[in-house]
Amino acid sequence: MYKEEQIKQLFGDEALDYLKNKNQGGTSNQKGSDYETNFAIYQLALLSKKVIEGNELIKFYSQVLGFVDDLLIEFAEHNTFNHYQLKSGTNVTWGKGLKSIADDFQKQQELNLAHDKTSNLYLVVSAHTLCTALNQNIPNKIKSYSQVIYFSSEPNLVKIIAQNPEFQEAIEYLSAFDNPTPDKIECVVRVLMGAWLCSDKSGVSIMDILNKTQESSLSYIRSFSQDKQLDPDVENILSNIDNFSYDLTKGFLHWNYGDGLEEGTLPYSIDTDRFRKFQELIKKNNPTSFEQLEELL
Amino acid sequence: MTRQYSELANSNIRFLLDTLADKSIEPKLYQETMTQLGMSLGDALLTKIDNKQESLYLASTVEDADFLARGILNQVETQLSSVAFACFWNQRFSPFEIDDLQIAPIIKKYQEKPLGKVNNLVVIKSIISGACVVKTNLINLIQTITPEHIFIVAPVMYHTAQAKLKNEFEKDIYDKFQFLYFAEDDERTPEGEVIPGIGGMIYERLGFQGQDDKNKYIPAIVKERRAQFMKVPV
Repeated sequence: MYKEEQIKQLFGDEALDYLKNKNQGGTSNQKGSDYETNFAIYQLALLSKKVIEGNELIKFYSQVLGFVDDLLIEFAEHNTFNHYQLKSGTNVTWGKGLKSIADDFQKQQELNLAHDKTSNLYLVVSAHTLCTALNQNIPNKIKSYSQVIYFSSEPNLVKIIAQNPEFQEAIEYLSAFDNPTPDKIECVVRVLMGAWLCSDKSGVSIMDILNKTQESSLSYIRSFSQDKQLDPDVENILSNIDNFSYDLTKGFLHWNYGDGLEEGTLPYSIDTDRFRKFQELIKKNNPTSFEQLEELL
Repeated sequence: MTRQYSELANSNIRFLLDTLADKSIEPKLYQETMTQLGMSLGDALLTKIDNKQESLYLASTVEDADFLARGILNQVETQLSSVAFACFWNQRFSPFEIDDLQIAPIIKKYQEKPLGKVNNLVVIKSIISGACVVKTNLINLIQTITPEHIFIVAPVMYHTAQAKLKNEFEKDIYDKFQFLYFAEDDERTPEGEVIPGIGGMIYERLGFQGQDDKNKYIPAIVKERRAQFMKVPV
């Protein structure tokens, strides 16, 4: 990422010392920074569809040596960096001079221009009124590439999702269900969060994070492979069980017995070895009633 | 270690709780003891429901269904006009072993359709400690059921469980909560075992070989009740 020598050349020793201290503080605070983690998960969720369906290379960085450093998202194919500075407090101003947010934004833009990168710089705050006020007062010199956006400081991500239709839609897309219940939404979010927290945050791609989620014992995150079908023999066996229905949505087997009296979803996707074993067991046991089938589900 | 008994815990119930805490007893006696405690909790519930025409919806986890839940059902079904039952198979885990991320998604559920309005929703569990499973199942239930009262019922609770559970819900929901329990303990090991609690980890005490094994189990009570709806032999 950014080199110390270049920062020193562009902005001098004082700015470099400031950045080193800022970076060190950010890194050591990282574990407790729920606001930053929640915002990263929000961005991960919003951008996942582009990665899964469009194969776009998007990388995430956190606490890099830079002026706007809480989260950096690199859109490699567009040569663009989106930088986010997060402030969950209420006393936030653009300020003036070294160490002010305005100055950080200006220097970050200069640094990115030196790297031939297009920049979008975002100040993220947790109050709507503050967001509006800061947006109305963006200093002219940084206005063309800066904006202020709102993100809730509610610690429970599931509650944030319930209040944010765009976030909800993104999580539903990632979910193994068409209409996920709250426990399935929570499962996607927590597994995604676990994968993010365990990732090296110096340029990890969204696809690497999504692949990491598949290492979790259970994720209820959709399969990324398309068009996988059940074994025709298994289909035939399942179709002949009275009062039983099933579908293979997003790579997971969802089943229903007795018009909703009993229902479930296998905790592993069609991509896994466990699913292959499940299909083998179905063929071997050849159940003809739900009572015979249910112990295999 | 301090155990606080509730006003419901008479000498017989204290004896039953001591039996659970005794790690030397076999699963069969442990199961029977849990059923007896369920019956006592069922009696306690009935004292809270004055109008016996009111409906009750009982929700249990798979491991508690044949023992604690059966005990409660034995008592309430003979006294109340409408009783329905739900059973949840939860997979509790911490993604990437990060404790703070612990969740318990529902992988399977048996859920009877209530006949009309549900007056009393009862969520039972052998012990409520982190409240993760109870929270998950209760949120699921209230997607389709709007009860007047919500009883959170367990023989033993960890001392922070009530506050933790309330914290997960909005006021309009937690105002409906009533907690029914016999004892509250304030010690928990780093592995999450409440001391003396219910004498260790519930799956093993009841005779299951861990979580995967209990999630393969189909409770007899589910088979019996389901057969009445589906008219198939048990």
